[in-house]
Amino acid sequence: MSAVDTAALTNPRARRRVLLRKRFLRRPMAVAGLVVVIGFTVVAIFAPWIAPYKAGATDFNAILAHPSSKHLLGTDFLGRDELSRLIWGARASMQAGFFATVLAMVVAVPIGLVAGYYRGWVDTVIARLTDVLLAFPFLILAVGLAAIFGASLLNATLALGIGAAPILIRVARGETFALREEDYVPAAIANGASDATIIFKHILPNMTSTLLVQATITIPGAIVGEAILSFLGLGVQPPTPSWGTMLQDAQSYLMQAPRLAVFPGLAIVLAALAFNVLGDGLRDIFDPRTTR
Amino acid sequence: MGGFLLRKAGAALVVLVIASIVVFVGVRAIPGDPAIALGAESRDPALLAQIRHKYLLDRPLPVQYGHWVWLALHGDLGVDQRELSVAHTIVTRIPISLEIAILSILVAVLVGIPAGVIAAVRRGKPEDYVVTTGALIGLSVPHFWLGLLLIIWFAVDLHWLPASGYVSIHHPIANLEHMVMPAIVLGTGISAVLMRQMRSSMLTSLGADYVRTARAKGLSEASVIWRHAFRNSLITVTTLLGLQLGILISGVVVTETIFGIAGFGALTIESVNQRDYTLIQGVVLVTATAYVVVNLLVDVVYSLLNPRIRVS
Repeated sequence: MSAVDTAALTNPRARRRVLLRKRFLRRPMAVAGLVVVIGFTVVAIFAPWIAPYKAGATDFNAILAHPSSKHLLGTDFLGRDELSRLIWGARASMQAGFFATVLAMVVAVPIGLVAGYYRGWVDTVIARLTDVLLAFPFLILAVGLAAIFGASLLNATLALGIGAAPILIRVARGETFALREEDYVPAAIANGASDATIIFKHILPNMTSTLLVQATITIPGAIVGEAILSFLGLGVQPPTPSWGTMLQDAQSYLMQAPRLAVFPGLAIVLAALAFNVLGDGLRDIFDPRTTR
Repeated sequence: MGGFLLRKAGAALVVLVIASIVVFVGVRAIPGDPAIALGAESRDPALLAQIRHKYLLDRPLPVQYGHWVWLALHGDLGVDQRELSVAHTIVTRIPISLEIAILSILVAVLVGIPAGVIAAVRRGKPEDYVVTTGALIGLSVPHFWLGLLLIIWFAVDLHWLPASGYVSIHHPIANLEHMVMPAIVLGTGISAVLMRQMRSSMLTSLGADYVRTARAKGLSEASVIWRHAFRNSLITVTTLLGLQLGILISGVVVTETIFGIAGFGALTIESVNQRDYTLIQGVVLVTATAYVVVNLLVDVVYSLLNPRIRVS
């Protein structure tokens, strides 16, 4: 046994990490999800180096061209390379997915912590408001934001983040409810810890795994949401490529080039599915009840 | 029962008032002088003052809000940029969207509920895997993309169905032909959610004591499944259907855009694209009202199905 392994077995935190990694690697679907997620992230970050053409590069000699060695997935109605636009479009999707989720977390977690920790009328008010917002159509919110501030990726991301917050508030509140009952909370109170210390140093760290799972399954929702908003003209504005705007363009050429409507959709489904499968896998490894 | 409903109705009213204030303030927050917009970009001070006076723009905001709500309560939502009555436009568009919504729910219920029951009863068997995999796909495929694919297959390739447009319900067959794809597109996503919920609550019910008792009494398996397990599972599924309302409203907007149907959903997008603020204000207010009213109805249905709710 090497020195590293021995250290891993004596330090409880390192031991848990090793255990989690082992459990994760035993789930082929989750590993596949992680690989695809990393793949999309790399493609989004390094788009300028990976894409064979610039996103806006037009070739008027090859309008609506079929797939060929020059254009692997063909070209669109302006002769723009479909593959390159898909690669550039990953940026908008990943940005929206990531930042909307971060925003939702930043808004929701403190509210959930306060509601779950203090309970009483604060909790009642927050819980009622969350219930109301939970089923509110996020699209109407996006429509409102687009009407007031104009349609853009930033405003679409804001709408998606706010739209995702109610579910996260519920999760954070429920977790806090349960964690407040743990023995270390009265122990910390006996030690003279303030409410803020208990909430942020004791309760919050103990719900990170739950929050990580929630984040992983919030991202695909935001990715699909961005595509819908851009498709409707409420998100990314042409000529900036996004899978949603590409589908919007494709809609006018369903007769001549149906494949243009197929590829961006496949990209959306693949990305959303990968995050969902990864999220399911993470939930399984963190939840001892499902341990095999 | 009366007290429960009164409490719920009161809460709904509060939500509605808050929503109307948000809509009102939101539209006022839009940069630009509404008087100039209403006066066809004229800069004539006398004309602007006259417009401000006519639309109460020279009065304090609470007065404007009160006036707006007063008119809205009387069915007057103002006129849009083309001087058409907003209320009238909305009223003519709503039945179209309602038809899509109802047909979609029909598709969702007819597919999702039996599929969920089958998956639960045949748990771990091939039927279960087929249904749960189908649900996963139904949840992962964005419905607007599904719409485009259906148009490619059934309209462009096979010529079975019209690709877009709407025909009035006075021509029932042509109307249904135009509605088949939109209803399937919007219905599949909801049916996947329904199926998952139905499956898990059926599994819970099938493991409950009263089901064991029913079996011990010697009731037939069909009677155990349908009269005992199924009826109890319907309660959770009804609430869930209420929670799908937001998805339904958003879905109608997307579906109408894909299939070129001039319903209320398409109007929402048009109003933003044309930056027609009276129209936006009216559309959002009507959506919020519909949302609150339907939620209230779901609560009522829920309390009728589950007597425990009424007491607590």
